[in-house]
Amino acid sequence: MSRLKSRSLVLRLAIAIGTSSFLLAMGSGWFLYLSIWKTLHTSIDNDLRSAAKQVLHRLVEEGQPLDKEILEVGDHLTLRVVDLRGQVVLESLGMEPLAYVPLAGPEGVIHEVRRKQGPDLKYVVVGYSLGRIQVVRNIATERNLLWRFRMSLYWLLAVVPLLAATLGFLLAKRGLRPVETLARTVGEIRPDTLDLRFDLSSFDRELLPLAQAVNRTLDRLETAFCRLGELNADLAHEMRNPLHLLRLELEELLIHEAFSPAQANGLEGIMETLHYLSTVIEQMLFLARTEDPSNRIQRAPLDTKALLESVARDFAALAEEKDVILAVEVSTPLMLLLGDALLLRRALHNLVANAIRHSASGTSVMLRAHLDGSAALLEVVDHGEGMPLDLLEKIGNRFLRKEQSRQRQLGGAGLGLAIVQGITHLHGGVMEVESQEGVGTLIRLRIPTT
Amino acid sequence: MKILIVEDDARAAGALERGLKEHGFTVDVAHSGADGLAMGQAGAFDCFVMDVMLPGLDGFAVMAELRNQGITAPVMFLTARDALPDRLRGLALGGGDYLVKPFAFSELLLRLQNLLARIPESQPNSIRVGNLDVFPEQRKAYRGGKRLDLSGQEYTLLHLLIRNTGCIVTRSRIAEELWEIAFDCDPNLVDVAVRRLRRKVDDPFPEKLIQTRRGIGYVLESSNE
Repeated sequence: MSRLKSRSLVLRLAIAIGTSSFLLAMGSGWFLYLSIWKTLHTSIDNDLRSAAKQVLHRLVEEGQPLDKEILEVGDHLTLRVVDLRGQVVLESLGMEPLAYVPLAGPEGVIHEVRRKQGPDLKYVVVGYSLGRIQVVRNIATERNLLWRFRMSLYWLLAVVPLLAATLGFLLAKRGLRPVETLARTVGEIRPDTLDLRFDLSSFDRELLPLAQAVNRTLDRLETAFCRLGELNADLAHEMRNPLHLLRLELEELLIHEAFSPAQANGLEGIMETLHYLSTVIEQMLFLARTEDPSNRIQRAPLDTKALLESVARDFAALAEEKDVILAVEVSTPLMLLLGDALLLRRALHNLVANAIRHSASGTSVMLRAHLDGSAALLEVVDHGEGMPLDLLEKIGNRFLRKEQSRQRQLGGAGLGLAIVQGITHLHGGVMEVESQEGVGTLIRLRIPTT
Repeated sequence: MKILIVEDDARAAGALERGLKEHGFTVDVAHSGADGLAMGQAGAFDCFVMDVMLPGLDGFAVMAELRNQGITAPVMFLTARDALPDRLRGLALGGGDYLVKPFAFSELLLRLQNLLARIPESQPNSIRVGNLDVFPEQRKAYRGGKRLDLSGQEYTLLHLLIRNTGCIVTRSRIAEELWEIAFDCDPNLVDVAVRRLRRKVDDPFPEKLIQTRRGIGYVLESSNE
């Protein structure tokens, strides 16, 4: 996996959801708090005003005497009456000292007193002909209520955004799952799977543009790849005839003209190179044909054992010369394979030729065949030098050679394995390679039997 | 013998024309299918050498038309390996043969001679080159009067070379004959087969009969003849 330090969309979404839910909860909580606060204080103020009015009414209109009856004005309310000199004439029990209750100031205004000791108070002062009346209200209950409301709000503000963020995280992750699927599928696209297209009906509306864009990109890629393949084929085609001509003319020269041995040697070298070029071009054209999607091979049931044995027979002399043991091992007595005999023989020829080329004397090369479910496995195993990892990754590439040096041996253009792969693909199969340097190489053609 | 070459590439046609003229043929050249058809109808040719891939009318069409008009002279098709082999084989049965490009001129010459002679593979009793004798009916070979101990494959190769004495036998021809391989096989296969044959036929004797023609193939000939 790449250690790319990328921002997480899901995380950012979760944080955004958390933050916005925090702001939303705070806003609505604060609004609620304010309206409750306002309602409570309005009702307190109304209590105070109506109580003051009632006392005044009783004293002035009804002429009630200044006795204890006057003091009964309602719950939470206390009363104090002072004369014009400021002396207390009458007051409710437990009334706070006078010092806290200034007698001066405008009349009819509600005052609030916050104290460190004792409950908070609200009071109103009204005057009459013989003095002043102060009505006091203890607002501790309301304050307590508001405090508890605030505490609840703080808790809410702490918990709600966390919950929202978690929920948002899970939802975003779930919501992005189609994108992951899309990414995985796109990631699996290889040059030979360029015909893949997404079924647009299975996508949500929001992801549709992405899927469409991928489909269109694949369209263009496929066209470009086809054009490249055609270009290769055209190039090879264009070069084939001139090369053939060169060979004919050179052969004419070699046969009829008298050259010094050195000259003849040079010309023969040219001839060899021309032959090599022709071979490469024929191989490239063959590859182009294996890649042509309209190409259908003719399949017939083949006796796998007979096929492997015929290839082993072809190479018997070469193996003997190189002191390499060539053996055939077929697990099932009569194993039928559905395929094109000539093509498969060509593929095996390439594999065995490679295996023998890379084998030291005294080692063995095995041609094996066995069944694995609904696939026939054709394997060529050698105990030769093996392949380094970087080469293993490029297996099937064209012009693949062990040493990327300019010294190339004529006759081996590095198209052999690409051809084997092409033939395997034509049979609907895959080529698998296992190799370890110094241990050997196993190449397996997995060909479906149905 | 009068041969019509139908080949759109002027240089290739020229090379073939020169080569065939040197070997005593009378040669005409047509550069398109239509020309080939017209000339083929007009002149009495003993044989046609025809490229399959011709602009306009292709080689197959030209041959079909010639056959329609009662012209039965054999046709040697020159074709690329990726042409339809089944169709070619079918046509080859109808009085013709085909050569896959790139071929060696000597191979063309040999096949043409076979085609013209139209001898149905009658084997001579013996073939002699230098002091090498091959008896095809018994599948036996002698050199300097001594029997050569050859495997089946070695004999097949020797027979192929000696049948074509003096002509270069290409590697692909050898592969086709020995293993019935119609593709570019590992060149080492052919080289090893020839090396093994040489060990028995040439190594014990001072005169080497099997010569290598680098880049083309092998030829069996005696320098004394």
